[in-house]
Amino acid sequence: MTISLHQRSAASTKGTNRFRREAGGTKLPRPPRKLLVWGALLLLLAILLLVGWSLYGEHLASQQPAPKASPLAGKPAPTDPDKLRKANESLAKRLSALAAKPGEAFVVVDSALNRVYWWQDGAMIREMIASCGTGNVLEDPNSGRTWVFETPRGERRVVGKKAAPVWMKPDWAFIEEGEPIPKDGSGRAEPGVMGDYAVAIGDGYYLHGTLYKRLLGRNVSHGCVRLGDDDIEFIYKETKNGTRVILF
Amino acid sequence: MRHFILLLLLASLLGSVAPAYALDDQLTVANTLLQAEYDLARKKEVYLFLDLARKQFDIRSSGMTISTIPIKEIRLWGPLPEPGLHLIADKDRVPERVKIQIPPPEGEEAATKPVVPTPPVDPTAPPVAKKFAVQATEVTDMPSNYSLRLAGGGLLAIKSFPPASTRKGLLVQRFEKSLWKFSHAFKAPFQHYKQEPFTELLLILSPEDAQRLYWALPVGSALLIPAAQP
Repeated sequence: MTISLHQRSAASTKGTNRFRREAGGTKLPRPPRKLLVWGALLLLLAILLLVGWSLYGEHLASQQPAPKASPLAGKPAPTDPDKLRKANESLAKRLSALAAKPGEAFVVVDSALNRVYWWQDGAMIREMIASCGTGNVLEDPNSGRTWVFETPRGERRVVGKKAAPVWMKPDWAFIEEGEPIPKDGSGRAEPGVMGDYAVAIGDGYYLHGTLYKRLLGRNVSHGCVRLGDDDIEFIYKETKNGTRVILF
Repeated sequence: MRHFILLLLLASLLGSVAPAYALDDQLTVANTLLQAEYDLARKKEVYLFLDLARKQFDIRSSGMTISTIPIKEIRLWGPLPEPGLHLIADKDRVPERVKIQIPPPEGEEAATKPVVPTPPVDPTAPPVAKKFAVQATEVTDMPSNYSLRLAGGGLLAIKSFPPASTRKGLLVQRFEKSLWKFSHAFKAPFQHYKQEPFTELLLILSPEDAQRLYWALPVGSALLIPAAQP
């Protein structure tokens, strides 16, 4: 029997050689070339689509309107440049009149870091460790009244000063301890717990001393600002009625 | 031809007037900011000023800067919010406050609580230092990755990265900016289709500063945003 060259090669791939290859397991059968081309084309298309989508997204971002500022109270700004310039100068002057005057000292309370700062002539002079409000919530089950023990924010003024202060326990102090609220003033006075000095800043809030000096630097108070002995003495001596206290 | 030259002349004249408009805009922006700050100062409020040039938040009161919070990086998706006063309308990840448990009156407590015998104290044992477990919402309880919604519709996103100690962490930080940009670009057409505004001012701070900022900006607080730097 005669066999052509072409037939022999076909026989070699289909015959014993093929079994040898499969048994060895070194080479996997190649996927058809067409499939590879299609796969690559699809991948390219997906990448192009993604890039196009992103570019469209970026274009849309540039077309977005700017978030609106809150409307201001008062008269609208003048349109004439000269009048506008004068209005700005006047506003800047009025704003600086609200700021501390040269030589004026004030207190800054940072309730996040539990720090009190003494500022004078536009510079921070003294840093003190404090204890500010816990932010805890107390609810009276009988009356439904709720208290949030936070240190207030904003600008206040010193409204009074006391040496050897006596704490007059408010209603929440009795509720918190599960005690009955006294009908009259008796049983409310508690001397010693506010330290040696207290500086009132309004609405029942004070900067005062503390018995719990180990807890200075933590938020443990009911909203007042507690300070160490030396620091409260300094604040008591340096402040006067009307000294501004800025709390944030 | 004559008309065309006249038109050209008119156009060039208008062009020369343009810088005056720009100056007017600057004056108007300055007026808006001054008016807003003056109103806040008069109300004795503590407010924040986003200083884009110095990359920091100024905590201000009565026009005085009393503290600052540094910003590491500022990124913008869409335009910067209009210069002026912006109020914080809402914020996410608000930590839950501790609700104080009121102890029952002494008589009731004795009646309901079983008496537990206390173990005998060993006199030779060293004294155990008492640890105070403070039950409070402190600055360390604040989130360091969050978003604040402005009343005017914009979003102020705050991000912070802890110092990367692993190779994976470093890799994530390296590609984070590209990922942020790509994810926003991908999301934008969907938001456009839903007809929802999609602008974001992303600020990257240190974790501690991000927590301080969260504390300093409660809902309803005021933030002054100046005009974009040229």
